[in-house]
Amino acid sequence: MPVFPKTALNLTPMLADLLQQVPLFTPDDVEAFLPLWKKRLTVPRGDFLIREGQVEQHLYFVESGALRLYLPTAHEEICVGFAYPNTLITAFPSLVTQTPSQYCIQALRRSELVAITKADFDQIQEKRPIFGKFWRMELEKALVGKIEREVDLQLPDPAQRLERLLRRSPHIFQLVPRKYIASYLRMTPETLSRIM
Amino acid sequence: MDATTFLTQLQQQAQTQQALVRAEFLPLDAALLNAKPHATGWSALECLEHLNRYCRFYLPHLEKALSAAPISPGNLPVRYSWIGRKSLAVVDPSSPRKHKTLRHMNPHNSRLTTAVVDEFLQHQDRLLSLFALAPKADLNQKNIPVEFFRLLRMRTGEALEFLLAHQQRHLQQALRAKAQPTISLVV
Repeated sequence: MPVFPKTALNLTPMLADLLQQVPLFTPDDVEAFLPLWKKRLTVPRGDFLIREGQVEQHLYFVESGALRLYLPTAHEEICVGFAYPNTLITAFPSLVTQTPSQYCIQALRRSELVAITKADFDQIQEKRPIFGKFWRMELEKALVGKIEREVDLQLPDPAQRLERLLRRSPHIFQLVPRKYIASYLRMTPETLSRIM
Repeated sequence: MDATTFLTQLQQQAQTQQALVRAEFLPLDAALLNAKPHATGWSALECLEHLNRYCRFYLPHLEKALSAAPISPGNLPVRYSWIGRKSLAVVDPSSPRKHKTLRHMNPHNSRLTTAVVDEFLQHQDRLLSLFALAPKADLNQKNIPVEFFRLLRMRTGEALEFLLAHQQRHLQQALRAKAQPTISLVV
């Protein structure tokens, strides 16, 4: 059994557990990575992790709670994604381009997160290429998800969109209030409750 | 099988089940426990909630039957009734056959929290305390109403065996359902 420095493990036990299960990493990799998650934060229900116009500097790991990623428009708030325990979340376009975010990330329930800065994350990817590979694999999965969703949005029948989401992510129906799922599926809450 | 051996085996099974739930489900958060294997399958919490509903019905009846008038019948063989045999065959944990559940026992898509696990463990404490009463009772008395058709009665012993076999079946299902934690990125 590898011995991890007590502090890093104690500060981020959930993340430590998950990273130890990633076959790519050696115990040494995990030991180098964990201390970089320096910021710990609790976001009360309704508060924001990032607001429109801010420039994203962090990648977050959700330990508890639930959050939504949405685009505020004049008429409505369009949900584009949800995060819950064991999710990494960030306002991705802003993180990558370092321009003001168009998206907001809001806590749907009191949420506890830990964060690594973009600078620290970039640096460890340089120093230890395995983290570059890890990140690429996460991005690939996220891209596949986005493509699935793009297909969903082209389907004219709301029931079909719902069915695909139920098949892909049945757990979100337990974690996220229905009205946000309705927005994510581009239908009214009334339509969702009629076909659910 | 004689009553003493029968009770010893069931008590061990009950202890193992309780330990399993403490180790495998109690430490997990709601997201993992709510994970569904597929759209119409039950999550681990739904399996446990289904079992809670059976406990809510059967435990009071078992308590009443086992604590009524201790008669110390001696170590008699445990006998089975027709309905008892049928019920045990349906819930046989080693059988891969699926059965439709009764509507009011089906927790599919209900909003469940980890309180379900706590409730299950409380029922198990109650269930284990029955084994202190059981040796003094006549396990062959037909006095446990069948949940879905209350005019039918099961024998006390077979009802206890039924409850534990049913739990065994759905705990196996819950273990299959619970998600292995993995990281996912949301952008």
